[in-house]
Amino acid sequence: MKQIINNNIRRALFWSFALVFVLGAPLFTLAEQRTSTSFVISSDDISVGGGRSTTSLSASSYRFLITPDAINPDLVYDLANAPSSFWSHVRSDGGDIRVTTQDGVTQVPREVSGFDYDNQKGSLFIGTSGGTAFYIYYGNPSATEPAADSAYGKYNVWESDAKLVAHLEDTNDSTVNQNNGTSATPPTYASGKIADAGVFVPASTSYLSHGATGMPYGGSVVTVLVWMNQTYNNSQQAPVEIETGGGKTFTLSIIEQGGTYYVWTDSVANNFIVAEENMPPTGEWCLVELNYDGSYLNYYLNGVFKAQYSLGVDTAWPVSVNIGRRSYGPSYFPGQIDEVRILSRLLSSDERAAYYANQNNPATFWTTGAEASVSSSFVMEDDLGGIATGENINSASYKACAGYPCTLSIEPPSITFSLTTNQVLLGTLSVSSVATGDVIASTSTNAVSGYVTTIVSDGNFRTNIGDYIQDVADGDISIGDDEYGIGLTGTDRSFTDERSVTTSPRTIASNSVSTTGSSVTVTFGAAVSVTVPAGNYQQTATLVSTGRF
Amino acid sequence: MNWNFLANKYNQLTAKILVVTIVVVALLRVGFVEAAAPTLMLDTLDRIKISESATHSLSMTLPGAGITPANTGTLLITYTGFGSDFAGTPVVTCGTGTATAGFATNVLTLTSGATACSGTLTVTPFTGTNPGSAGSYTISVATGVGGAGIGGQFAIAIVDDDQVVVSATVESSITFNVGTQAAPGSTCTGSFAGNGGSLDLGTLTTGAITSSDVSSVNHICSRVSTNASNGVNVTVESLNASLQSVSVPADYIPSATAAMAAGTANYGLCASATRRGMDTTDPVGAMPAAVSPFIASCVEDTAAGSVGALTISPQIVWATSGPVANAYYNLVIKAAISGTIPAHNDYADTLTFVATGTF
Repeated sequence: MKQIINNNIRRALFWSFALVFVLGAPLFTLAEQRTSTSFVISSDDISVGGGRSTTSLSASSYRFLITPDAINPDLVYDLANAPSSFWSHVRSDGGDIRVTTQDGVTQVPREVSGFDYDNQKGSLFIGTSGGTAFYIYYGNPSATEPAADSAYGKYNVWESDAKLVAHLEDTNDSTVNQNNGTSATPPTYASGKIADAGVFVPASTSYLSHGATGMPYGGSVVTVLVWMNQTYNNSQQAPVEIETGGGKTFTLSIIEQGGTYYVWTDSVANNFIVAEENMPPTGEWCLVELNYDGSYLNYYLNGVFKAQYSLGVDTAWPVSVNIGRRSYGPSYFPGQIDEVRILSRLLSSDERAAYYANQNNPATFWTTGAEASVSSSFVMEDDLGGIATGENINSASYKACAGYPCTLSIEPPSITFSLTTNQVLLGTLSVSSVATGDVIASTSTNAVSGYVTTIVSDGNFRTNIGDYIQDVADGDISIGDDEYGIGLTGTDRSFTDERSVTTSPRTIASNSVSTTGSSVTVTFGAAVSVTVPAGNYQQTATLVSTGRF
Repeated sequence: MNWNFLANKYNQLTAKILVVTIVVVALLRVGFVEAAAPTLMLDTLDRIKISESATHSLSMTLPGAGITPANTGTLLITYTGFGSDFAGTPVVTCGTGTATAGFATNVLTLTSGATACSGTLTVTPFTGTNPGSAGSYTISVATGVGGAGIGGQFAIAIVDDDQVVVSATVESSITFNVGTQAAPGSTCTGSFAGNGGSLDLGTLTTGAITSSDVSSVNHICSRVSTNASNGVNVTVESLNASLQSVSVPADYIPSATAAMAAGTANYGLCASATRRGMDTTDPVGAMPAAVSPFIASCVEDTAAGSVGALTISPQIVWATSGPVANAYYNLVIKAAISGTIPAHNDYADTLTFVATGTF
């Protein structure tokens, strides 16, 4: 009997397992491949792991988004304004910092300057090509500082027209020209305008002499930019000088002599004299720009044009660049100097304004997002309580839904879009003003990859007999010109200048993550000249917002 | 009692129960199957207004092996809430493989080709009518035929109105100045702001032609600015169609379109070909052009040249074909007498100039 029992049980067990494998085999297979569009997180700490590459962006553990007020080839972000947790996760030498455009994928060159881990400060210079906002990635202890000449290294941050970029954290030039400084009596360094700055003391004859590789020759277009905080104004000082040989110089001089005020001299016979009220002040930081446009020297203080000086051609080649010393004498600059630039081109007015706004007050120039965990393979490595507001905690393979509603149901995809008006009346156009009218376009979506809003027109801004006002082409609708187009305001806007509305869709707003109530103000503008034909002008613009799920 | 028999039956029943239990528990522990979701799903419409016919451009990245098996695997994109008129012959592209598109009411069916469609899928263009009320509409993506198990959702925003009509007015404008200028001291330019005046031809002799801009005889300057889309006409109308004696109206110097000649009576006007112009503007203005019979060569500053006859009805002297800023024309009066013209000191005429814009 016992044997019968055992045989039957064994037989039962055999068949039960056989049936399970026959019936359950495909289910086992599919279960191993199971993925999910959403799932509920119910524990506090979910730690996942994986190997980390020493160079892969995807191996970074953290990121945060920074958005500038304007895009410029020369942008700097003050790392003192980074989320406080940044300093807990970044490498102590900042070598793991990487930067992408707003898509979170396209890397751009970067330079970390004056990185002081202990005092939680440093500067991040960004190569801005193609970006309107930037992700700062970090948190990979195996990642090291990219080689200066690598694709994302510091040389590639700077445009080819940048011949000298001196941060005055040390004696180096950050450009590929390597016009580094040397001196028997170099300056010391202390807290300055952007991180640290050089401290120049005449009594110590402190100065730096930099190379002149690639410098524009005398008579060519050149722009010199320098932040300076002069302790006093002596009679011979010069924050920056370009020596052109033959005893001649192109000297940005800040000199008061016998009641006459100078901002430039060539040590021969030409002196650029300005009014006293236009001189850089003492005891405070100011941005001085001196450029030569081929005919005139132009002097700017804190981004504002102050004076002009007609100058003939000097064809001598530059031999060196002095910071803090004027070779005539020689005489030495008293005070601090920071962020010296020598460019072989002129700045546009927009670039000048952005350069000043960025460096004068980096904290207000940038909008800084919160820190978030990132991974190409795993959802997160973080406390749920620490999930940043507004950040996307989804990955390429998984999505997360947190909070009480997620315990009840899976959130369906959603996108809503609205316009504040369907009619913009610009009124009677005049040669003495630019007429404008606004419409606000708002998008809310839980699309994991955000949204994009476009605008397209049905043709020119025109009359019924075909007369039309021309599309703006120079980025600015100006009084008295025959121009029509749109400008944008709002965090998600796609451009900062004024552009046409054409019969091909143009992106006006976008975000790479889900958002609630993101709005962009579209300002339609029109200006006319005296020869714009009389008539009633009209255009119909269609706005569409598309979620990227 | 046959205990062995009873034990065997009992054990058989137990075994069956055991089998069923084990199988059920095992299957339950395996769990149910979920479909893999596409990523970067979006459908860009050219119109998102309610009840509007829209052109769609759909794209998504298919998971795993895509729409399998080849030739028979299908993927259904269901536009719930949209019209039942989805149609078109869109171009279907796959990262790898091929697929074809078909429509039934508001369902797009993608069928894999000989090589299964996988990777990035795009389907464009196809059309369909939007829902009749605004809101967020969920579009489902699901396997039709096949075992690969693709499933997901995305959404489209539909609004009451997706358009903004922008309008503005440019009011009609025209300004005109015409008057005499002392010659040779004054030059007719686009800044002329005078009005009216007199032009004294002085004493006419049979030995010479009298002309504006010769021997201090005045000329007439005319200037117009207008945004009339079809330009402006400047016309002249003569009171007498001649230089007529005020005291003896029967005596007059006639006006004829002809070359001037000393000793041959004639009186007329010509538009100086070289003394005309306009401001440089954007858009470019229309250059003023003289009109026959006043287009004949004035031979400026000389007692020579040709004139057009003046009449009592308006005649166009010069015109533009479109808007112009400060278009100007220097107008010349010439006169000559023959030996049979009676002597009077009161030969006169009044010229009336009018600028008319065509808007």
